[in-house]
Amino acid sequence: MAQDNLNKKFNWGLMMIFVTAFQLLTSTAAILKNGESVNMNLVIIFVAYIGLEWIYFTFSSNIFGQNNFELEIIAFLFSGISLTIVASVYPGESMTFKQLLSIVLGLAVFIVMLCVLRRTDIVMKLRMPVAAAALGLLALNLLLAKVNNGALNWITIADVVSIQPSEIVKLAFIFVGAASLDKLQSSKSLTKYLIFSFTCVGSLFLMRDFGTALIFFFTFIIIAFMRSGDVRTIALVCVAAALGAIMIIYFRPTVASRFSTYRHVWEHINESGMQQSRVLIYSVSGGLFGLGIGEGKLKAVFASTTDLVFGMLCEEWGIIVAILVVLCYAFILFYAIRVARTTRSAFYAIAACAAAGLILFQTGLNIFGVTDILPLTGVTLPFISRGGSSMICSWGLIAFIKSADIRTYPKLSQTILPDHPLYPPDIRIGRRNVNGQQNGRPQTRRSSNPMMPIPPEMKTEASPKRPAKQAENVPADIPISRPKRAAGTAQNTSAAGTQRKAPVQSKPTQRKTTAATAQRKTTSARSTQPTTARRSQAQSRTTSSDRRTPR
Amino acid sequence: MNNTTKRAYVLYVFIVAFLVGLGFMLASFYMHGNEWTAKKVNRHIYTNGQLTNAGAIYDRNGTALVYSKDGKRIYNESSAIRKATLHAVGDKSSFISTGVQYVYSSQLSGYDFVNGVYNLKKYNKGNDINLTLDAEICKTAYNAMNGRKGTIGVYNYKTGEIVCMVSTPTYDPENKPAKMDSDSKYEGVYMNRFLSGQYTPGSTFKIITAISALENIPDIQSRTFNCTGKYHAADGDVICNGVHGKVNFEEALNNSCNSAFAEIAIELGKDKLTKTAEELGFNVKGKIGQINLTKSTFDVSKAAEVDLGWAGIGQYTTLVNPCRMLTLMGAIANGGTAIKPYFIRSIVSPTGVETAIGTAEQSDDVRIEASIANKVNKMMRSNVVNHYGESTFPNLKMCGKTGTAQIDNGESHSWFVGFSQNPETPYAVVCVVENSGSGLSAAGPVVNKVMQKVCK
Repeated sequence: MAQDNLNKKFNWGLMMIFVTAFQLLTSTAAILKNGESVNMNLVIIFVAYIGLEWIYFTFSSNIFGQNNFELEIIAFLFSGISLTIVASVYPGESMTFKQLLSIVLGLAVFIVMLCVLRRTDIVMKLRMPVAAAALGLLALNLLLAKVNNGALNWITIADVVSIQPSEIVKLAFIFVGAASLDKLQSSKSLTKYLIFSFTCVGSLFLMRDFGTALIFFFTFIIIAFMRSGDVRTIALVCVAAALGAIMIIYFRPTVASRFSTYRHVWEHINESGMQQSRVLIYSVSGGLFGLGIGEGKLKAVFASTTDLVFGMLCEEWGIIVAILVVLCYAFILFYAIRVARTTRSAFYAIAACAAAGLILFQTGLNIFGVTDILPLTGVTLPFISRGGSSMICSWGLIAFIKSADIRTYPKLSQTILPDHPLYPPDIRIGRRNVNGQQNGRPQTRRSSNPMMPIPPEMKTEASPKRPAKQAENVPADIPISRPKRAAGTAQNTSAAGTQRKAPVQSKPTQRKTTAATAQRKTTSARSTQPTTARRSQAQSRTTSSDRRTPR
Repeated sequence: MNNTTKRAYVLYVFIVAFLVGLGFMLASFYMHGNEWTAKKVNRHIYTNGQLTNAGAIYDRNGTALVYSKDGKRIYNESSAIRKATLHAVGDKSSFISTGVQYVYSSQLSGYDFVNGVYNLKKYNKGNDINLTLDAEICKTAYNAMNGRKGTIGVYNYKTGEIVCMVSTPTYDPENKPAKMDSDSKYEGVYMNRFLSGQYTPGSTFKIITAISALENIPDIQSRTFNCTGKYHAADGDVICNGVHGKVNFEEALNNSCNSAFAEIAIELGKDKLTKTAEELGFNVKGKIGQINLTKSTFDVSKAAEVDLGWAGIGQYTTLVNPCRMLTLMGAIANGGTAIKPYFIRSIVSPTGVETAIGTAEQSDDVRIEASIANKVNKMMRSNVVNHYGESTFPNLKMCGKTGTAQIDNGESHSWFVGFSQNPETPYAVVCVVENSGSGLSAAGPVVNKVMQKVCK
């Protein structure tokens, strides 16, 4: 319901105006604080940034017909905050320009990923190369890495650009994890994924980047759980990991010293507890409304714009702003869980939840780490911490969530033919829906649940309330299989699934061993469905989604 | 509904856990904000460990004892006032742990949860603090101490306002001596002896023994004692400062007769004497505002009979805190009702709102019956009239008791405790001059100089 309301009533243009006003206000403060005279280059950077936001917004709403901007608004807001903080701390404009470049790159990655993720066939083709590239990158990292703040997680190219491969690998990790869905029941595929995951986590351990290793592990748990629902295996993995963690604490003094500081920062106020104690002191010094941008003292502390940026937010922007920002991270996961219910396939649901879970987990590690509620692990705050790798990764992560939202590709839906064999409608669903029921609940539950937005295409095809529409659009041969189809579709997450079956059957390479095959056979009538029928269905979807937009 | 998406609901648990963490964080911000902002590494308030930005501290007449200007902490222009009020105000590096600058640093910084230290930024000052001290009187007291170690405190026993609080040795915070830490002349320089000192009370403790006797021995005022220069206890002698012969109770106090008071103490016994001492503020933790006082201790649980005799005349293991002694003087002077001493009058916000901190408040720690207080009051008056001489404290209607506290190594500490009976000048005084011999010769003149200034 909330989402429907957003679609109908929410004026995203107005929201963009608010965001722009906020950014104008804060960037002006930052520019004025940056030096004695106004640095025109900074003005240009901020104008360019705000212009970039509006270009993106105009293009996607007018040309691509998007009407949901929750994630982009948050990402723009956060990126703007990071840009403003960098501008307020570093004299001159070079750092700010670098940060703007990072945001541009991040946005580019976001758009490219949205395009790639739209095409599930491409996703499937890219799966292995991406996995290989990720491992290669980590291996390269291990070979070339320089020690940086006790961790080896940086590669410096020509002494100009230093990148943190582990940030990029985060994207690959989710991509591969969610895309390896084809052989759900096969322990072999799980083993492959396990090997991939543990190679990633293991390399991070070798790099002594324990915070990121922990993030990967948490993401792995989300993906593994959402894929299999196998609580026993996951419990086993967690126990193994806990044992591993104990070993590390035992053998690695740097990690152990972090734990000795944990909850004792005031006793180590000028040594190991320095960063946390400064964050605490200056966070409360800022009060609820902050001391003003550029007025803080935390900025002089090492890593203030990266790891400790939450403290800067509290001190200069105020605890209220900091809390609102942090609540936005929680909203991202909330949003991901909600869109996961209406995704076209499980790939999107898993990718969205894993990405959002990763963001919130990393946020938690960061803000609770610097405020001494959890041990300090030195991870960045997504979007807001300064740094290109982190920024690009953050934008890439929300691309996973965005692509899961069925509203993301409204006008392009005709060309979306997620007909790759690896993306049948969810295999497990297919099997259970043979009886037209799931968990004993009647199949009509979805449409009767007011909290559940019904995808427009589903209303057209499956909703009993619109029989006339169906008669218009659906070719005559479809109703033959209608009773079973209707059962499957009403229960299904997406109507797109109904179309996938035709090519599934036409492909000789399709695996026959999967549980889905059973259902496919029952719906074999569809394999004879002419292409025109599919086309007309797609058109009906288009018209219905068009109807949705401007209301 | 699909299993995969249903499993996503587990992530709601994670969101809840995250929000709980956030709530915990905010709660700790709220609860510890005061304490955290006051840390010496907070560069809004301190620079290189030195307090730089904070509100001003004023004496009772509005003289600025210390204030901040352009990121610098500036003390009063008079070197003598700087030295005399150093322990009350606090040093730059907060080594003086009872200094207002240290204890009230979060108030001086103007910190509150809603605004943080914003006021410090906006008005370039935090809250100001008004003290009840009089800088000129403190200066007189500092000069009267004449380089000797010790302390002097004067307070109004009707209102509780401390007008004079000086602790020596002291130093000039604007001109800190280079080799202070290794110089024995500056031993214990960071301690405010008035608030944190513990001294052997010597004969001033006879007041407590006398109060206990008045409470517990009905005919004490008609009793006579025979002083032969020492008192024979079962297991040793208590030596007297003279041979006083036959004295009554009042004359025994006038002459500070050890024999008589050792006899009284032993007659009272451990329990009664301890009970009285504890009613008079011994073995009890005390505070002035947020500043902790050092306890006065009286413990005769393991004392032999002769030790109890010694304890009755203020030797043995007994230690008193000058501030607690001053409160006792106030109770005696004020007809049994002890008013708590305080020296922090109010906090003034940058916008001019004044919040009272100290007010006349009855002390629960020191309790004397009015009739007994009045009897002791008269006896202490007779000490001055009959023994020390009215000319020692002209025009003050002074009551008092001297003490010469023998210490293990070095010369005795000289004590004077007392008060003015004049209703116009209701001031009580405590003075300790270390290693300076008899009470009257060393502490007496210091007290007179200060009290003349106070009561002028």
